[in-house]
Amino acid sequence: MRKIVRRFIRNKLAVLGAFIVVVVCGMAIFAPCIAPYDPLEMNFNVILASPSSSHIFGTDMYGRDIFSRIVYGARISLKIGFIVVGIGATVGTILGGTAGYFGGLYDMIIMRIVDLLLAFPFLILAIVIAAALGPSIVNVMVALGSVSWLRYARIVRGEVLSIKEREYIDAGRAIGASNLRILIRHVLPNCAACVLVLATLQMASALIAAASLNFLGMGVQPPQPAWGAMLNDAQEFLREAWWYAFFPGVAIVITVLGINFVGDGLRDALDPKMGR
Amino acid sequence: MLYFIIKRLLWLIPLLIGATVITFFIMNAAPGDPITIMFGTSVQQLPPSEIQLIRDKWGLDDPAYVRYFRYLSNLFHGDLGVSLTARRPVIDMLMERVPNTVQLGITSIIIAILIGIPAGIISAVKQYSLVDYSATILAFVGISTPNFWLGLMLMWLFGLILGWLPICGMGHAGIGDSLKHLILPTVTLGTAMTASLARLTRSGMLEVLREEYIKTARAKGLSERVVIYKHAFRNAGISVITMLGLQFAALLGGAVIVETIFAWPGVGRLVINAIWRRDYFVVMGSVLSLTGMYVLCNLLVDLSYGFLDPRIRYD
Repeated sequence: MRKIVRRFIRNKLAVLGAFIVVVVCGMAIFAPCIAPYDPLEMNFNVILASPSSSHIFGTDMYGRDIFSRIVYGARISLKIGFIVVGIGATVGTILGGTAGYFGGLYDMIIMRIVDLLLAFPFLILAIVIAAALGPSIVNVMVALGSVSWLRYARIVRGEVLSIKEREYIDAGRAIGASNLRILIRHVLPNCAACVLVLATLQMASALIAAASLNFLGMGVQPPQPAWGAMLNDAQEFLREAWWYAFFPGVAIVITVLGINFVGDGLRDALDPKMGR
Repeated sequence: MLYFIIKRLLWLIPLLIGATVITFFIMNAAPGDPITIMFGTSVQQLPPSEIQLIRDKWGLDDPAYVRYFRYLSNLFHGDLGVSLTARRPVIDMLMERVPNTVQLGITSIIIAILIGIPAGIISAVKQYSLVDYSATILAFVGISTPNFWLGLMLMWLFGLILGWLPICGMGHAGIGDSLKHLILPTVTLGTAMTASLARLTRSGMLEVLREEYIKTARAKGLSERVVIYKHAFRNAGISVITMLGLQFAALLGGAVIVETIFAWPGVGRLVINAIWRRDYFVVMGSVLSLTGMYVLCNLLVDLSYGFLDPRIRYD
């Protein structure tokens, strides 16, 4: 464990990524203390005001402070990211783990479903599901969650197939441990590293996918401040107010970049043979 | 080889049928009545008997599975249904749109290959140099940038501020005009793929460059260029090509967004507009064609393995 932490810390980009993630999480938690204005408060005296000392990122079409909306937007983005990854990792690990462990017809059925759904372009399937459910933040999470478990299932199944042949599994079976106990106590913990790496990298793509759905108007509804939805509003005012589209996008890029750095660093730290 | 192609093409059938099942039942669960979609607000002026007549004619009151099998059997006859809003056969609409999406996709892939692969190779060959670090950071930024934001920013800079490039639609005034219209959407769509291709080429090359046969090739006195491109890259190429196929899904998803921003008349824009109008048959037809493109692309990827690595046999 200490070795892993040391390898992670030696990777400068990973440390920078971890710093970014901590800052964004801090922003989300302490939003009321950081944001200078109420993110929903309209002020028709300062519509589309350019960045200045009173509004460092300018204001939007209703005179709302863009910086405050970005700070509060971090809450929505991270909430979507964590829940989507939570759904995907849990469902994927359970289905992939049991499929790999028990094998047979059950394994075949699960994996054929995974193959079928993976044959769809990911975002298009999510868009269709989100559209059918109707625009809301919960539906974005459900739509993305229902397509994100596939990769976990495939990877965990692969890991379980190799783990279940090890001797300590035979030993567990010899002392009369039940399948459930072997699976939960011995097999799945050994998949934790790869699930962790995948979850981090998937968090980055979940954030971009959620922002895309919000951008298309299929997610968070106004006046809630979500980064993707802010960009949707901003595109009409691109000529008059560049800052309106610029800053929410920068927030997305920096957050996703931070998460990707962490994911990459974790992968290298947990498995030094990979990636380098 | 032929046997392999036929087997893979046959596998397309259950896959596409699965795609129709999923989209049909998802769209079926969505709220909204086709009659209201067809006639808009004027539906209230129609007498109920006439509405019933239309419902009977289209079989709208049949159970979902009956409607599904009717759709499927029409599909096998090349009939993808009629758009509820445009009142045109979906197949005609797709015939107009698919080539535009393919054009955008192919130019983006070409950009990604032309920039991503050389960048990855140089990065690997000059590992831990300034070039490597810059390329790595640029690639990370490329992967982390959502295409809709990149599109808006490029549009703002090159379209609105500098006025160099058109920002929407496809050009129809000659090749020069078409190319000009193609630049911004292509760059927007191709950036993420270029970045991931560069990352993957780098790690693939690093692995191969450590192999014994590279040492042998160098020891034989071959030039560095031959060692890198002929001996190393050919072996790293397999994983790069596999990734190219998988990335195609992200590219098609991206096309939906990029086409919407740049008003590019492709399948992606068609599907988004159809989703908003609840134009079921258009949604299903578009999703089917996008899935078909993805699956066919992966078939091409599988076939290309044989050219890259003659040891791979298909039978």
